[in-house]
Amino acid sequence: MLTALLLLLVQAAATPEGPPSPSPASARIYERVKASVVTVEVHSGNREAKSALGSGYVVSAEGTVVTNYHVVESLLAEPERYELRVRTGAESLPATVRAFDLENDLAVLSVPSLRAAPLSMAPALPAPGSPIVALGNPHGLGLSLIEGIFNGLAAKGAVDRMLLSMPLNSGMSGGPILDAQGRIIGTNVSVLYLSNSLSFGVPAAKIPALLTAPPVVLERAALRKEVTRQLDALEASMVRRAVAPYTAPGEDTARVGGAETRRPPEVFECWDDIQVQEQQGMTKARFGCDLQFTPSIEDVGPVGMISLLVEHFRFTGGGRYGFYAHLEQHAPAHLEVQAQDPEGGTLSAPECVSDRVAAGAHVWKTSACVSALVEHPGFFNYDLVATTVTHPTVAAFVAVHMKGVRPASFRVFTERALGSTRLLEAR
Amino acid sequence: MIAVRVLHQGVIVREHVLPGLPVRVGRGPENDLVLFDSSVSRAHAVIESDASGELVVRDLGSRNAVRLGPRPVTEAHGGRVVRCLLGRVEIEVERLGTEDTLELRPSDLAGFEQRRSIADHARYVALAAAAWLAMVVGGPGLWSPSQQNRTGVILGHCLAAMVTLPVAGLVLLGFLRLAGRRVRIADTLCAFAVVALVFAGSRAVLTAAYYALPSDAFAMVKDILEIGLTVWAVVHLAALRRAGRSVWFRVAWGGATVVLIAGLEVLGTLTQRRLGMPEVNHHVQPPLASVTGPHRSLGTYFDRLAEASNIAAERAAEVNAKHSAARVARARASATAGPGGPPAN
Repeated sequence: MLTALLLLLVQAAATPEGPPSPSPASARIYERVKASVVTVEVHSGNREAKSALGSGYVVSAEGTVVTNYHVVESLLAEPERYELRVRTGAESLPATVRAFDLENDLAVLSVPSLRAAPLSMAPALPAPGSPIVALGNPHGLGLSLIEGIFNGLAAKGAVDRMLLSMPLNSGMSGGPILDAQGRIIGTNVSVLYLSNSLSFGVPAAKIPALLTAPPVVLERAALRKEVTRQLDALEASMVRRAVAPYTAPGEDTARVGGAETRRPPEVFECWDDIQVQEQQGMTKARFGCDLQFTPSIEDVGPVGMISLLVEHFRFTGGGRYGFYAHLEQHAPAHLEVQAQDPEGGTLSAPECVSDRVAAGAHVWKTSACVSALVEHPGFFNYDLVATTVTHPTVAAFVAVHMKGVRPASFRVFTERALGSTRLLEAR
Repeated sequence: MIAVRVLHQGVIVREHVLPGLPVRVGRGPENDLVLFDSSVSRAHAVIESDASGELVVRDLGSRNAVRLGPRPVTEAHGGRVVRCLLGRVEIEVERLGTEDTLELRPSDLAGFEQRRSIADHARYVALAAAAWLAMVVGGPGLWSPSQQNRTGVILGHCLAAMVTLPVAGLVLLGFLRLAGRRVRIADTLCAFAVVALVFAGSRAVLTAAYYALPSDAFAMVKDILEIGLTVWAVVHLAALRRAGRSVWFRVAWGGATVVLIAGLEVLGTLTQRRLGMPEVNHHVQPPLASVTGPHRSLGTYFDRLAEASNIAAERAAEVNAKHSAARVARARASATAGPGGPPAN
């Protein structure tokens, strides 16, 4: 199976209509940097098998390696259970985590016995459209180089991400992204699910701060505290980029069928859709927005996450009574609150509040549930749904999901979402 | 005076009042009481009073015996009343005093057993089915835009009502007969019809309460009304055709039902808490002449949500403390059981 796959890869490289054949420059870069790109493995006791796999690259002569936070996150969640090793060629060396950055998905490892030439940093990001290469060890099969194009920073998202035209693969996470001269411009981070050849990287500018950061203590409680501290930084950045622009005074609205709502700032990825369900006599317009590239923590899930959904329903069928029965079923389907084992887990059992609430121009039946993050005091997961109950055959619906946030951010964001959403036609 | 009653399926079909004991019973014309049935012997039994003055039905060597239920006996004893089978004929013997013939009050006449026809039976089933359908048709779910097949749903409920009601009536009849109650199928059907009508009526009350009460109060009223009606329905069905004053009987049944429901509620709440399940009441109804029901300000709502956040945070802190303690204990255990072990001396 493996041989067949390798054969396929070789054949693909040999055929002219396959992916671009390596240019002489790529071959030179490959030769020059191959010793400085390593494989990062997280082991749970058994040295032969790994429980997490990624790539990394050497940035200093003392054996400092940069990789992704998500490559080592299982180790940071339970340091007593896992062992970290860095593989270079046939050698497997013990390593420790020195610092990590949840928001930018970066981690710095210390590998004292590693002797490899460090890669040099590019002074700045190249111009959009520049050719680049990324290296890594996909699925642990062997060091691979992928050529691609740097397209600048992604227009959306809670954090800065480089937009790359190249097919990164699982296991290449943490590998370097190099410019045409073979200098570091970023770190591989992710591929968009179900997309073709669209990948993302973290700009290299985020690395220096992490290299000088005080080393973390590899002990459970200390690591939890460090994550909580970084959640605060993430919260501040989320408020600055997403919440403050949304709650600032302004009349910029988006039309959602027969309703309007405050248009979320550019960092949100929004989509909309109108469905006419003629048989049911109902027209439904949706407008949904997500904050892209939000980080996530092992077991807890996404943090610093905001998702907003505004819908408008118009009912031209028979009784209004039935229209409300539909709304009554519709709302809890969007609440997405799951039972949490009160004895364990990373989230507290949810607590919910339902009431009729006057917000903006309407009265809303509002239901919200909150769970607290067990190991990060002060941070919560919120889910809220609200349905207008002021008009018999038209209704607006708002759902707000915020994960790993402080109560104040949820409150101001939701107050604006409910306050700014109103029905344009009252029938 | 001695009353000997002949019963058919638990209901009296014939009664004889005789001046005194003994009373000879059999198929032959020479008996004091003639039972003209092929399972009864010519001289079948004699009703006497025993040494202590209690009634006794003694077998006179009949072919098909005197039986208490399935068990043949030579003598059937009882206090004031003896019930037994002579062959396949069920009789009830009661010693009557003058106090048994007190004149009825006019108000008691209303509860007096009446003969009911097929049309009455049909009417009861139809009433109960109508109340059932009223609940379905009056419920908003049927009229939801996502409900594609209304006719099918209504027909389904019609069929379910027509099958369920007679079956429930028969089951209740069986239980009441076991308890020695003189009921007929019409009584149980009638009782179910009354229960169904009351439940249908409570729907209207709840719909009105939605607009009159704040969300929390409405949820509470809904729970109380539903529990109250269930208790009432159980007591109503259990006390069906019970002779005499039945205050304590009703109190006992009501109390038992309340205890049962409370137990189930507690069990449900505990299970819900154990699983950490959220409880959400997102009941909505259309505005009624622009009335949406009482509401709060957004600020008040967020204050309540802040309290909920505090509760969640407390739960999280509890779990965290428990986990930390467990980890410390584990660490200590592995330290003492480690390869070095405790210092030996």
